[in-house]
Amino acid sequence: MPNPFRKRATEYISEPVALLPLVSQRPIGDFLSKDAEAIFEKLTVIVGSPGCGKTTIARVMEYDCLFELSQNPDHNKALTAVLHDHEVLVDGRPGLLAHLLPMTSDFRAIWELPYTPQLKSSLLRSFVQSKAVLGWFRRLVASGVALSDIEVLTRRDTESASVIHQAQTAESFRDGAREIEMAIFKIVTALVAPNVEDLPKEFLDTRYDVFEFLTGFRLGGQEVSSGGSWTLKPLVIIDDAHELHPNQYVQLRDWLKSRVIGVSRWIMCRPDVVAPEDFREVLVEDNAESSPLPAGSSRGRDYILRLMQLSSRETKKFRPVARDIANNYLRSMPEISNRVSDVERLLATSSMSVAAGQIRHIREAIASRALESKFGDGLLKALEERIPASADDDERAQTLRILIERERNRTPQLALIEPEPLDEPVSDDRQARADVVDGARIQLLHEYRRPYYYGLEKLADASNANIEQFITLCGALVDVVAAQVVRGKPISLKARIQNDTLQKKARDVMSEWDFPYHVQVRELVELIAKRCLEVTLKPNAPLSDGANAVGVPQSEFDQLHTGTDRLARVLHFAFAYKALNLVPHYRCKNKDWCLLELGGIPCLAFGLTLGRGGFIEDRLSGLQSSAGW
Amino acid sequence: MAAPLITHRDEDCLTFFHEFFTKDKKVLYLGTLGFGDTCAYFPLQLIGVPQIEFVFLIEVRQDVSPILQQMANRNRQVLETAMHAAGKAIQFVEVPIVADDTAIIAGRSAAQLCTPMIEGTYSDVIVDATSMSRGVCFPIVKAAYARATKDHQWNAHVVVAGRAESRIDVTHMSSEAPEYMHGFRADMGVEGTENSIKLWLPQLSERQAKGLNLIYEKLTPDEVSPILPFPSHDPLRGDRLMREYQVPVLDEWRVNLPDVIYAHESDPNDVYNTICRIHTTRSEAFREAVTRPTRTILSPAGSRIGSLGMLFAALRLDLPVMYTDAMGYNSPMTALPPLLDDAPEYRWHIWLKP
Repeated sequence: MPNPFRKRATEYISEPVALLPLVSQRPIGDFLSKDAEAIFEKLTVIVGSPGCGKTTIARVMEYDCLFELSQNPDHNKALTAVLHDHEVLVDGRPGLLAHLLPMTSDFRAIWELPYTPQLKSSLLRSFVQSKAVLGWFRRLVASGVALSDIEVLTRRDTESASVIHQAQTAESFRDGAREIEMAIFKIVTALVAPNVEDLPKEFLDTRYDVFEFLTGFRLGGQEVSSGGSWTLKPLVIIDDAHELHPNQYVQLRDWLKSRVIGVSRWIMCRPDVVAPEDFREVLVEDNAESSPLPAGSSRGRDYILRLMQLSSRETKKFRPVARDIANNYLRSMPEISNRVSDVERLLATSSMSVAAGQIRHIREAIASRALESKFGDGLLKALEERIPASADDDERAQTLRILIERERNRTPQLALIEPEPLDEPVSDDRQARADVVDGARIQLLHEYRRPYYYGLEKLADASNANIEQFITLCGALVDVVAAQVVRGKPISLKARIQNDTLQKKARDVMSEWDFPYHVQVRELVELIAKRCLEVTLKPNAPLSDGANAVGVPQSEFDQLHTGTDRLARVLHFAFAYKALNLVPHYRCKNKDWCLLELGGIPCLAFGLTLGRGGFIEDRLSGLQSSAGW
Repeated sequence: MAAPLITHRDEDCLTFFHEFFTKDKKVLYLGTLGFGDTCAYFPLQLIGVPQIEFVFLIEVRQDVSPILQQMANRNRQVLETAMHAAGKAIQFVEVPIVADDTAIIAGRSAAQLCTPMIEGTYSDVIVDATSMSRGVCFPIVKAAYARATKDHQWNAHVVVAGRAESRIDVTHMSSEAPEYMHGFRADMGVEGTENSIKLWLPQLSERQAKGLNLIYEKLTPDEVSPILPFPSHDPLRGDRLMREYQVPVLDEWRVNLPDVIYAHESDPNDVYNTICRIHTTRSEAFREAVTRPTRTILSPAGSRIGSLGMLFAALRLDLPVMYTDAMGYNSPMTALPPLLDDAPEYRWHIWLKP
């Protein structure tokens, strides 16, 4: 049976009819509910790693999707309701006319032209505006709106600009945009760029600034007049802004910040192009518990910066989103959804304890260590009482093993040579923390292959709040479910099958890495993973559930420069392809750290914790020399 | 239908050079300093041309294995020694391939650098594609072709040499983002072609499936006709490639097997003629039948000689070319391979007459 999880929706499904039923309304609702009005008035920069859901939000905002939802809300009733609540759909009709404009190599190529920075900046602005105008019209025409039924709305005080840009009719306005687009296209794609003096004079003398006077499009006419004419607010979504030269990105951002601009504008990009100080500001606000600002955005400036990646406090928020998406996908697999409609029911969460003989082996090791350490029964009992009652026998035994090692480390050396066994623990912890028990589970995974990665929560956590990654991992599990259905086996996957499937998938994904610098990225990931594993498997589990990151001083990280540092180029691709997660400005021990955290895929592959915060201190220079570069 | 190419192969190339490049011809040779010793073959054969200047481009990439750099340095030494002994001018010029933000700028750099040379006071330009990466070679040949089109007394030549089996184990570190080759864009990307019906002709080659898939995803073509190398030095190569590409060809690109194109591995005429025939007949068929524009997009991969057929078709028919360039090269080799005295098995000269 075909597995829809094998294809990422927004990247490969272009038709709204096919796409809309798969979309979860939660991230869109969250996105729109923060700074609800401002995101359509001010420049909004949306930052997130590939696959985090940026493009899905943008795609849903596009006119063809909104139009389809307005005509057939049954495609996704929950999504329709969210869009109504936030006035993206108004009275059952689209209120926005959005166009997604990817920054292709044509835009980047403007930076290479042998012109003054001012001229290059002007060409970039004009190219963006002309393509946006053409995109808006293309959306409307494709939806069956005749050009004669479109009125271009402009600010009242800009009549002369309207005349210059031929905005009197929709057709002349579009033709003007076509001329600008073609003129710049010829310059950009010329084998050798023309000399400045050879550029058309009228082109150099006239500024093409339609964003400044355009306020909307009014639709009327026969085809659309059933409910009378209505107005659409134009929205341009600059996608993949990280493809621009860093200086171009700054120019574009600064220009779009202008309050004179009347159209809504969003920029979408990867985290690596955002200035460290901007990132810091948002994170500080994000981490401030009492902040009146919505998490993940900053309003104290002339534009909004919105982080799509969830902070450590928010990762649980991804779980319902993951569940929604998985269930939406499952609906297109009737062989499964007719029997089970909730993905959670496919993934058994009952744990799978190690064999009784293995538990006995652990207990024997504990007894031997206790004897060696002169720990009496009373002390062992006191330690065991600290372990949560909910822990299974094997978890309990392994946790006790960790606690004994910790106790041993805290016990004064002299006490160990006393003739009488110790009956009271030196430490005065009341209860072992949950992450110590989790650390014990990870140790059991490595020592006895006890399943660790199972259940929807683990699956969502392994996805790093990244929808694309979630679909990849979930797809592997659904493949096994489908095979079990065909073979007439139970539909729910046992913990061991889930664990083994996810770890194998992760290893397969890593072995298929083929992006630039993937050899070096793999070396770096293996290096970090090896060091994290050493710490995680230490008998006393010093970081409880272990480590999955290397932390370097933030100040050192800020000095990296992509142009000259090889490590910077390697990290650039490691972040872009989610081999590593960048966690900047992580506060620990009163220091500002930048964590290079292993992505969910390497964590699965190497059997490491999916939690955040366990890291090994190092410096970038140390990493470089360890990698032998 | 585009005019056939004027080509010479093997020893005929040398006969042509001897007879054509007489004393009255002022010739510019543009080549690339490569890893393989084949990069020195044509320069050493052309050393006897009375008025010839040699310019070698050094493609600058930030990440190239030291062993490969050593090979290139050895070739440079061979060339410098031979040129100085013959009293010929030789120049090495660096071409940046990757910008500081990892964007690929190969084509624009090469065109900017070489066009003024091509526009100089020469009567002929010979572009040696033997070791040039495609992103550098295609724009330079286009600039030479443009000059020849303007001035019919002026001549553009392309030469290429290749061995049946490479002795150098190199893996390309491909750029993550496919893009149109600089100068080979036609009108793709402007408003009028947004809804065009796209036929994609990718050249299949070993270990290129990932890069070609990226191109497919970016291009979203309506039809795909992959080009398989047949006849080939190894008669089973085509079969092996079909096995390697089974999943993309059948499941992802949805290719109808009768649409697979077979073209000679080491004869650029075959690739050129095949593309010209397909494009022309398709355009004629569609012209009367559909209102949407139709476009044929080429993607070269694998052997340099086969790619030249694509280059000439793109030049003659103004076809767009989408590709991924190499950001660097890695090699597991630990020792320099010996220099070979025997001539490369495949040698071609193509006289680009507009």
